[in-house]
Amino acid sequence: MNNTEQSIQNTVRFDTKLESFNDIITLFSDNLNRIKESGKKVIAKSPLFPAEPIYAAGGLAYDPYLYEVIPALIKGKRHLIGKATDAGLSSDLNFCNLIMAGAFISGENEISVDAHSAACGFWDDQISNTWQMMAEASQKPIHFWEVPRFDNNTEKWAINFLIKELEQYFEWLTNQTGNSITENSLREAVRMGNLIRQDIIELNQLLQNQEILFPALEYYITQLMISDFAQNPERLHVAYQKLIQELKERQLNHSKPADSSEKAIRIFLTGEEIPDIRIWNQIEDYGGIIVGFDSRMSLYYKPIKEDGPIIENLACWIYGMPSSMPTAQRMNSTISFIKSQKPDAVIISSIAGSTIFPESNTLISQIIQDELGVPIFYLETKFPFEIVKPTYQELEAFIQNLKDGKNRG
Amino acid sequence: MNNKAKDNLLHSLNIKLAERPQKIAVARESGNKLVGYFCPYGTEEMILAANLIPIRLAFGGDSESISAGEAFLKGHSCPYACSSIGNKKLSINDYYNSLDGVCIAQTYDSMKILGDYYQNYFKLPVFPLGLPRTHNALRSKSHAFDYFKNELKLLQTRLGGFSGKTATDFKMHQAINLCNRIRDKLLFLYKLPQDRNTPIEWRQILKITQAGFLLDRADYLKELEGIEKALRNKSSDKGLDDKRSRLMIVGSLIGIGDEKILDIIEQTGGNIVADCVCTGSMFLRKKVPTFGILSAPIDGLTERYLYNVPCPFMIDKSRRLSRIVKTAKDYRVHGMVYYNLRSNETWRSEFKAIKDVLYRNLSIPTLLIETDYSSEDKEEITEKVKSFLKLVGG
Repeated sequence: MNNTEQSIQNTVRFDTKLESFNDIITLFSDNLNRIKESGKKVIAKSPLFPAEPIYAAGGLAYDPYLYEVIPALIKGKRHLIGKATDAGLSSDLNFCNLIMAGAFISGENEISVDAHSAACGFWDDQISNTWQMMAEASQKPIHFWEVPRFDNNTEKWAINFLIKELEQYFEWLTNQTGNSITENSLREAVRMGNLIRQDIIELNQLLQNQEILFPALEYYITQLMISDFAQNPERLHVAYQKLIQELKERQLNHSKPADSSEKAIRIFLTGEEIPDIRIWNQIEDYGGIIVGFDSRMSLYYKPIKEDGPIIENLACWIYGMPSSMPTAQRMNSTISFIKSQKPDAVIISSIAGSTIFPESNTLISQIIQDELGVPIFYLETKFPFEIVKPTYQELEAFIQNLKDGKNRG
Repeated sequence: MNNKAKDNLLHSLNIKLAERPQKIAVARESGNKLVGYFCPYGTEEMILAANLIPIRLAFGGDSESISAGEAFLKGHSCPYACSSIGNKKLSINDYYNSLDGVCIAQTYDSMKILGDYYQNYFKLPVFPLGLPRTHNALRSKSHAFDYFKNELKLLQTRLGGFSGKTATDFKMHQAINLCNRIRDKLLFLYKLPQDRNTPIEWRQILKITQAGFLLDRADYLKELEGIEKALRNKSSDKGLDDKRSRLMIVGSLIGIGDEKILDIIEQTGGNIVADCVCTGSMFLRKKVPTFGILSAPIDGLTERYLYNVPCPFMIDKSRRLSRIVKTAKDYRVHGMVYYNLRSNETWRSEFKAIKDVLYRNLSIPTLLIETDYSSEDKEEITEKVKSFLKLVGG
């Protein structure tokens, strides 16, 4: 174990008094046992598309971008990047994609999957390159389905296209799992998924309060797990409910986990995930509090309509996912969410090697400036993490300046 | 063909090219509008049929425009995408300065973002064209055809609205006919270097192709007819004694002005005879099918653009690989140069697959060149190419 890994493990701090988070972190860390016990087919899925079809087919959804990357970074498996580039992937790719692909290429993946399914659309082209390579290397079947370009004038045929894509995807899932997706099984999966969506919406609403009761790192991990419902939607919903209850009790008891005083800087993070999980504690140490993060917001931006034709409802919901939209349109659809969290500042986060967010930063920051008029900080996470140290120092100064201003004001 | 003969062959074309900005200025003063497009999926027949002037904005090779574009995109973005914004921002390119609108086919990420910037910063009308990427040669996704056809119909309406002149089926037929004839002529030229006795070299054909991105299409066809006439029954001055290594160039877009890699290969004694690049012959294979004047032109356009050789943005990799192997075989190449513009991850991630398939099938070695538009790495690349040419021989 090198210095970085040691420091990640040693310096990450959880709120030990938040007892209900134990269930969440257990769900995060014991998925291998859970998957083995279930005996179900594991279908790997790319982060930003709904997991419902996989559950409706009696499979288990697995998001390797979450469960392969964070453990690999903590365990210091840097060599996985080399495995991915040796196999042919460009070293210019987002390093998280390389680590995820490297895990499958080298056979060091945490979870063995039965098949891969990835959605492609407006976001990163890297998904198609990476997932194709992963499937080829692990000699597992892969299915791509697509969210096409659309705007107000193209809604009709874009949704028709999506419905056909979903139907083909369902057929493929049926072949992989041996279980047909029925109207009922899909509706039930959507109902369960909506309960989880509603939980996350509620958790975000709690962050609109003046007193912030939900620490940043815990919030980050909790939100990420919506991607595949932690291979057990029912259990995840129960864990989320327990967490919400405890946070509400904290609210009643005015029990604050971090510097959530009126002088603390309310920060909203927009953009990509931050693989160096230490940053969440650091933001709090610098005097900031996290009031929202939208990397997975597309998965809970609103519940899926449960009444009526369920495939069409799912297609319409996918059509409305902010991640399916061009930058300006996406920001226009998410800006109200950012506003509702009442931030003092916004951090735009991206991962070195990614395309969509870093290349759109100029436009994103302009829209945030126009709509919110709050200070903006750009945070690009690079790997190895040591090289971002100066950025973290700048972040500290950024928050400190805002705090000084707030104290003076 | 010696230099003087080369100059004579392209003399008329070069004059037309030099006069083109002025002619565009005059046309615009008379109320015509210029619509630029970036990638070959930008359906120029549609632009023509709407009485608009199509220009393919495939300029490259200029570092200054990259720096200007980096103010919008990130520092390590695709150089072509950066320069496509930088050229507009700098106002030093006549064609960019004359733009009235842009048509953007939604291919790779940077291209999609380009539309956002053109619309929001340069305040130009942007005509997006959705393009499915998961369709395949087996045509298992008939809905991809329907979707793309609808996108083309919408483009037709939008462009017609922009010019004030409806792109009727009749005008579309005329435009298709014109563009198909241009493709025929270009394909004729690109096939010539299959023969050692070719009267024209690939690099000149690329120049001719690139001129076509800018010239009036009818004028361009006349030029191509003239060139074809001049070349028929002629043969190479080097002929069968040409000992240079026959190379195929594959990879990123080679833009107008992006001469670095081509100069190096020429100066080190290599001879490019074939390509798989989107500014070269890659998409010429398929014409727009026409089934008589009564057929729906939009169906033909959908067929041609959706089921052409897929670019790396498309998921159907195997079809692309087959095409590259077939071309290498047809042109009897000795080696492949894989030209990858920095940060062009989509092409870069295919390099190994292409290298492996070419070696496995034809024992052809491959050289990877990763670069941008700066001249800093010129010496380094020259050394690499020299060593490669020694390896492949001639």
